[in-house]
Amino acid sequence: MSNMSPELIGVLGIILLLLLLAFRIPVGIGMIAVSLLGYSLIVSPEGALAKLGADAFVNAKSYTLSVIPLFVLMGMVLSHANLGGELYQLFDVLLGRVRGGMAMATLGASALFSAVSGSAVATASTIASVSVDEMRKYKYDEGLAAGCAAVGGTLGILIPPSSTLVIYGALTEETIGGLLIAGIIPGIMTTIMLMLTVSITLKFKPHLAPVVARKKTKMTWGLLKTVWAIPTIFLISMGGIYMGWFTPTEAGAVGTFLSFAAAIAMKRLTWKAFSGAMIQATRITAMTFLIMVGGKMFGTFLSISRIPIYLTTMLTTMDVTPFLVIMAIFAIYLVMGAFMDAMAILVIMTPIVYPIVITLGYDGVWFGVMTVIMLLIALLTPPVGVVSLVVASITKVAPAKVFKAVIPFWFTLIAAGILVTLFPDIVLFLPSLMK
Amino acid sequence: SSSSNENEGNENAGEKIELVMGHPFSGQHPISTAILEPFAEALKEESSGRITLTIIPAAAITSAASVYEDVIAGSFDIGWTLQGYTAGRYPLTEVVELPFIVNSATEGSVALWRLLEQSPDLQEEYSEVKVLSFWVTDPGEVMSKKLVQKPEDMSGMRVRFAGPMQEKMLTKLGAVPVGMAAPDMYDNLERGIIDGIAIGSSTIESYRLHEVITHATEGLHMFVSPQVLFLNKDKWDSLSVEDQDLISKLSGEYMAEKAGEVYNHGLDTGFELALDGGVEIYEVPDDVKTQWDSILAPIVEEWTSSNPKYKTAYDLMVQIVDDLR
Amino acid sequence: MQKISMTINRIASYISATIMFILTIWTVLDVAGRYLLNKPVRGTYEITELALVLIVFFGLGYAQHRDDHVVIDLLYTKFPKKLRFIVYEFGIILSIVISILMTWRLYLYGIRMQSGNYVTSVLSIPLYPVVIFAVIGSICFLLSLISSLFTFNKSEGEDE
Ligand code: NA
Ligand code: NA
Repeated sequence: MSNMSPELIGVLGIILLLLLLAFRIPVGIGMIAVSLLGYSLIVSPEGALAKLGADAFVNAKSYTLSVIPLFVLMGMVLSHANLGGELYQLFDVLLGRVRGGMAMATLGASALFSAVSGSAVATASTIASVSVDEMRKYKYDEGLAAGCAAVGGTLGILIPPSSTLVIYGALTEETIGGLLIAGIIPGIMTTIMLMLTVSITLKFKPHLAPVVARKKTKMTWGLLKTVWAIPTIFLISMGGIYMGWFTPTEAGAVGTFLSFAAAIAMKRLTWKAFSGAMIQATRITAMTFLIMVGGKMFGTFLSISRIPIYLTTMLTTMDVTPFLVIMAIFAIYLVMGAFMDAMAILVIMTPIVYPIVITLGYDGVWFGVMTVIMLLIALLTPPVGVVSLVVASITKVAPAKVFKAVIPFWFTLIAAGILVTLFPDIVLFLPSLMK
Repeated sequence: SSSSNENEGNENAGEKIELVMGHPFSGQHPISTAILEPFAEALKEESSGRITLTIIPAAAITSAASVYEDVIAGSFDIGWTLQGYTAGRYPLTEVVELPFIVNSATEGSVALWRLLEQSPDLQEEYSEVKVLSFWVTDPGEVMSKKLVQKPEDMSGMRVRFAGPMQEKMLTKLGAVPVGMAAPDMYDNLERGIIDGIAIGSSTIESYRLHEVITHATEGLHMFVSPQVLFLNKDKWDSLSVEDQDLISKLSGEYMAEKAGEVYNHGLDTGFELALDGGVEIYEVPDDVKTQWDSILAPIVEEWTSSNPKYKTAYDLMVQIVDDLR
Repeated sequence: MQKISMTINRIASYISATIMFILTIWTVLDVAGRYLLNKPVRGTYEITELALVLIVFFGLGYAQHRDDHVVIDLLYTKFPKKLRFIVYEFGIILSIVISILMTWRLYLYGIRMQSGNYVTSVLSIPLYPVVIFAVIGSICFLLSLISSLFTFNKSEGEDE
């Protein structure tokens, strides 16, 4: 069609996409537009338009994608049932006596809530709304308080269920069940590393968090009466995937059903909470779909432009060590993470980078978890750090304070990424047991 | 295309032709490595480098549900799919899937290609594309996590299938048919979401099924699954007669037979792998096979009586197979 | 315009939510049936897929009204208001163009599904009516986009 080589059209397409996104074009729409244009130039306008119709339908008619509304709903129902508060108090009781105990409790509560919530924003807002005011009361630095809630929230997409891992799986055809299970150990590891970061930070800056002596132990049993629901739902739904009882979609449905049941049993499911959770889940599903169609079409456009093939051949002939390539990819994600939304990075970069990573001999499931770890950083990093900003707005802490407080955790997450690269078994151990 | 200028003034060199092929299967699929890649190489070699075929596998530019529509629309030139992925679209092709109609992958592949040459009704079914070749898989057996000998053993079993014909058979046998894409078989077997698969043993190797099944039943020969390789019709019409002849020579019945051999070979290696992997293989004796056949037999009658065209195609197919034997 | 679109899309999102709820219950029953009675519901896999088409397309318009898109705000917030207005409207117009193309092409795809007699493999449900539902949802989405042409002030956090 055109006199330009497909590769050149591919590169121009990527640049145009970044430009459009910088001008606040919705990510899904921008990717569809660029793919249509690029595909028209390389193949034909008719071929490009026909793909739009087919892709819009085929990507909506996707068993894989059906997991997303259910994962979203599961956490949303428990959040609307106000289970976040008790969850936080429980960890507070357990960790209250340590310096920075309340901050660590925020991380712990976030990690546990992540086990029933598929999104980072939902997790962060649930925990932030209950923990930050508590910490303020006890004279914690509010930046540290909000920072912990933001960092904790990001665990929502690492610890299963995770809509991010599902989307990665849908883009790469990697097994969804395996990806979800693979997130567990890195999730726990990262949580512990983040808690240690709190404690190390406080060694140097003790004024950020006074030691508070409180008498709360007797509350524990009361808390357990409601808090048990979260680990139980996690064990049944995610454990069900691990044990082979359910497909991920079924796990999502069972988890959602149990969430409804628990919320009703605790008399906490109002009509408003119910319909609010449902409608929000449909909105998130619809928008995720638009991005998926965009991501799929963009991937198709790139494939036909031969850029992934070109990059892969180049890298394999350059004879650099795979580790260095992974670290270079890591660096690129970090830079993009500052300026772009995590979801946008996920759908734009995965089709480019995934073939390279596979050619280098890395495992596709491993790279899914690695991608999520890289995205956690993106969710926090200014200026476009969605989770930091959400927490800042919920807690009325200045965004700059949150961003500043997040810095030490940022290094921790990088360390987690490097650890996972050096020891891929951290990711692959659990999925390998499934076999 | 971008490079035709270079050949100006050299009439013999002709026009450069760049074909792109997309398909939903893995790039490591035996058909990919043993049929398609050699096809691309042969095209290039015999056209002195004029015709290039870029194969983009693994659903990177298409999906099982849309590959046929994509090629018709001209999103790319050549597609490869399993007709069973899109139920209802190729009703007459199901003739080759009927129980007992063909004995092996090579026989089925060649017979289906000849049926296309002889049956206007089948040509009608593919009238929007240029069919390059047909082939079928090795005959479907039962791979399972429990011993399956008699048809009764299938009762209540959750069994994966691909395509409406297989669904009919499994239902007749009292099993619970579960539809899913081939790459999901491993996971779902391993985790007990399905108890078995109705499939040819050649897939054992590609999908590492020997790791997740404990039993295989050999000799049922319930069905074969057809696959098709096709080219965009406008693209085909735009080619010179010489190029069309070259492509026809390298595809068609020649390719059908070769692809059938790939599946025949896969059948043997599949069962060998299964044996090595500790899978118990039950060979169906003739008297037991009769029990299976008597349950499946009505399907032929049901199918042929549902439409006069089906009956014609069936009779023609039987005759073609007879001639082959 | 805005009111009409909002009403239509709110109804669409209720349909979407209802289907999602039914799907949840259906799936749970399927799992229960499988383990308790060894009788899974026939065709759950494809019912899930078709249900998702409806959930997605009937959810799009309301999500647009609530401005749920993933966008990158970085430069935008630094622009003067006039430029923000232009950029905002450009984004909506591009979205309108894409959604018109999508609606049109979905419709043509639906016709292909009908003439090709595409059905689901277990229950033999024809696909084209489902595509037509997707077209309807896509039109609702288009409607919400057109009404968004007039909501720049709202997107700025100002009342109209
Ligand atoms: Na999670
Ligand atoms: Na960021």
